[in-house]
Amino acid sequence: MSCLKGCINKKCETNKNKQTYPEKFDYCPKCGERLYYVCKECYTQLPDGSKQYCELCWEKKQNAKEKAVDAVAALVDLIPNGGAAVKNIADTIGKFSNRRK
Amino acid sequence: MFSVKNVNAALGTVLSSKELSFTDDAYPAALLADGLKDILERVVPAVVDDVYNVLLEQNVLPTQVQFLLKKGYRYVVDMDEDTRRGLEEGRLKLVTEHGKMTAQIREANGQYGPKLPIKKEYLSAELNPLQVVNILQINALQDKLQIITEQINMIDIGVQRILQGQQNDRIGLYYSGMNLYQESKYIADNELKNALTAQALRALSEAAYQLTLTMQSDIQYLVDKKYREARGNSAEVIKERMNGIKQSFAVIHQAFLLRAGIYCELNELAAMSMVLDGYAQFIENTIAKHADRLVQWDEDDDGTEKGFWRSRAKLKTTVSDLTRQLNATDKPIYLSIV
Repeated sequence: MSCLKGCINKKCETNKNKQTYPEKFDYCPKCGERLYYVCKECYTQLPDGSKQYCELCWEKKQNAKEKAVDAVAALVDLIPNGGAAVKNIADTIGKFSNRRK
Repeated sequence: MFSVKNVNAALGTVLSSKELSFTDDAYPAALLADGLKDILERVVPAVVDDVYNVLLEQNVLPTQVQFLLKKGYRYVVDMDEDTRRGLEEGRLKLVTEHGKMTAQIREANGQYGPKLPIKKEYLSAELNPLQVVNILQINALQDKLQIITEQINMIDIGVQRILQGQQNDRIGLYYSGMNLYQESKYIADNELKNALTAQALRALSEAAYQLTLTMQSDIQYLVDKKYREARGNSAEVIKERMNGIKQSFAVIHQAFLLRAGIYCELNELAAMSMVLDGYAQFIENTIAKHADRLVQWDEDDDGTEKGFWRSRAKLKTTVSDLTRQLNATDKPIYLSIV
């Protein structure tokens, strides 16, 4: 999964629209300023291209997944002897949520 | 050559400390700015005038300074010490034609070309090279003070936003120091005044360093990803910690600035530079080191060089340079001679 770049020139239209570009782009097609790695979610400038999201946005995504898993788990507890299939789904979501990228 | 206009323009953006109350969040920065303005207006031009008068009286401007003022360049004959001594003792001789000493150019085709005159320039024995160096140093110092003031102003705006409405124990020690300093200004007895000022400085120092530890501990918590323990709620935990970090930073900034401002007001420039250096160390060890991650935990920061955290990380180099210049032992501080 490739990381995204963005224009950090505040006066540029693409910055205002939080437009992102593929990693291979080095300069903004609109204003010509250098492009930097940005968070896919909040457009915060990132130090390198090792991550798609900033730490806070990553945690927010994790939290959403964890809450979903917990909700499913709570549902499983409510179904006596019949929650195996649902539990499998919960495990799958849990595994997915542990993947960083 | 020398002008305080630019610095005044930068400093002019800060209100005078006399126009502000002690409890105003902008007071520490204003006090420091007033002190720096005073140095630049009163002390630095006087020193530069003194040095220039000496140079003008002797009608000799050192070659280095002339070079700085002129565009272009010129060739000089470079000779080692033995050759120079040989010339002085008469063992060697340069060709003299029509009363002018010359050096001859060899053309590309191997033939000798035109002769160029060699001019002997005397350096005045009465001229202290240290004075020349100091002109350059003071200019550099002026630039540094300007940059520092601009950077501190930028940080200060962010800090004031954070401090607005802040009522917690973090700010207690800082206000204690601030009030002691305020009281000391109204005391007629010099001994008591000095004692109170010393206590104020101590309280401010303690406030800064206690909060530095708190802030470092908060940052370490985030670095170690201990927020992961709050399953499903880690983003909120990060936000809370970041709020604490920003509040700590705001008070630390105020405490350092007020201490530097007090020293500056007392004309203790070396001590002021040490406080600023302490601030620079704090920035380096606590902020610059973690700037890459702080920008990612702070939802109000855009992560750019002009952002909340990265702009602070820049202050370190400038302050360190200023401290080095002010504390250079082999070069007398002309700032203190007036």
